[in-house]
Amino acid sequence: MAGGAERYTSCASFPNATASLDLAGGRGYAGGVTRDPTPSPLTWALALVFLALLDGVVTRTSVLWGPTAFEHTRDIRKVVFAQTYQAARKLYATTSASPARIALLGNSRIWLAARETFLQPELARLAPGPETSVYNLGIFGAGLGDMEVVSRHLGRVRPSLVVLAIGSSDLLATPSSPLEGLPARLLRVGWADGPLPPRHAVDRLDRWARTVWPLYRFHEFARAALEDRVVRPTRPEAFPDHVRSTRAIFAYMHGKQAAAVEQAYRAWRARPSLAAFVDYLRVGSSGHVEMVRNRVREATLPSLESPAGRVLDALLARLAANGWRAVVLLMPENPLLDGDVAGEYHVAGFSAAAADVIRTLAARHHFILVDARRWLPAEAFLDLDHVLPELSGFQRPLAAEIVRALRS
Amino acid sequence: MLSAAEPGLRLPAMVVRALLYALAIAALVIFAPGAQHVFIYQGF
Repeated sequence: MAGGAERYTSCASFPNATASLDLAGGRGYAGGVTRDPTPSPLTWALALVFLALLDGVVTRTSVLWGPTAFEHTRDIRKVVFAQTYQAARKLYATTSASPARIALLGNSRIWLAARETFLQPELARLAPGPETSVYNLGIFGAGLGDMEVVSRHLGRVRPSLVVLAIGSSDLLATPSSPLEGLPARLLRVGWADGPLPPRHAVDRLDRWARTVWPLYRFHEFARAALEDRVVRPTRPEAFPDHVRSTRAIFAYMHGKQAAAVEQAYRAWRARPSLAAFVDYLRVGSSGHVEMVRNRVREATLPSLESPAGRVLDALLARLAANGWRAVVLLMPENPLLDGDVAGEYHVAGFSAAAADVIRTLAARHHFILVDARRWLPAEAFLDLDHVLPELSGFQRPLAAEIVRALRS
Repeated sequence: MLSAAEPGLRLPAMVVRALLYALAIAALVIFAPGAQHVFIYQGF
């Protein structure tokens, strides 16, 4: 007998129970009537149609991509997830009619230094005309492997120019500076393995499922967004559009500790030295100091054949294969490290060796290398890695380089 | 008494059942375990 509701016989004594079991599709016993709930192929086909509609309702609308509270989290354990979500939204839910679309790939260095609200006005000043759209796809802690995975989605924005913003320490592949992490797990797509093959077969299956099924691709984001819309938590303060003072950025970053951090910052400005700068960092960012020291302990000189070299090569190859113009931007380095004669916070010669690898790979794929390592003085730095957002003025020479690349 | 076995209710019953299946699959996918939060880079 064919499956389906047509074979069911309603029980005169418990008609409602019968209908209820029927709709739920459960195999059951009610009022002496056994039922075979096997759905027909047509039911499954219809279910697939509904699933596709549900998929669209979630992944193509504000259900998933509308403003959320979680994306502004101040919990450092959740920041990577939140920023990966924001990058995905820029890729999948932002439409721009602008003829010039600039995609910035990188990590916290570029996330902080080239916010859209800082960079777009500079671009408009240097190149008046149709607005240039900036997509800052930086994610805290992103390694080259994460950037390579994000680059798999760049076709969504059809970039006029890709700026790959990397620091020399991104060529490390160590616990303090891993090649890939959460962003790569959340956004992995593609049929073929990337330069960092999956550790387990199930990871490959997961990537294939994310490739074909948008709801599965974004299921972690969908859960967070749905929870957000149901619970409606208080929305934390978003990162400011403009940063007018160190006091303002410290207030955002450190909250109640901001005054003490500002005082320590003023002390190092009055007595500029590496030691005073580290003293300032220890007040509000002792974790950063320890991370840098660990990075030094774990460092080995980079090479073209290292895992990082292979990942960067694959990333640049993808950009080239898609015909996108690209600039490889070697991010500013804090000149205070020149005074680190003891080698506590940097490895002598590492930056030059990393730059050589990056320069060779950029040339291999015919991309421009912009070496910004010496662009800024120590006063422009927030810590040993990051420039002060907006206050550093980093966005001005970056905008000039972007305009130059677009006109070349 | 109405029953889903009634000829006139077969199609609506099938539609409702299909919708329930779709909702169940979507819920399973969305709330399945996945990558969420990790301790990260201490640089900020």
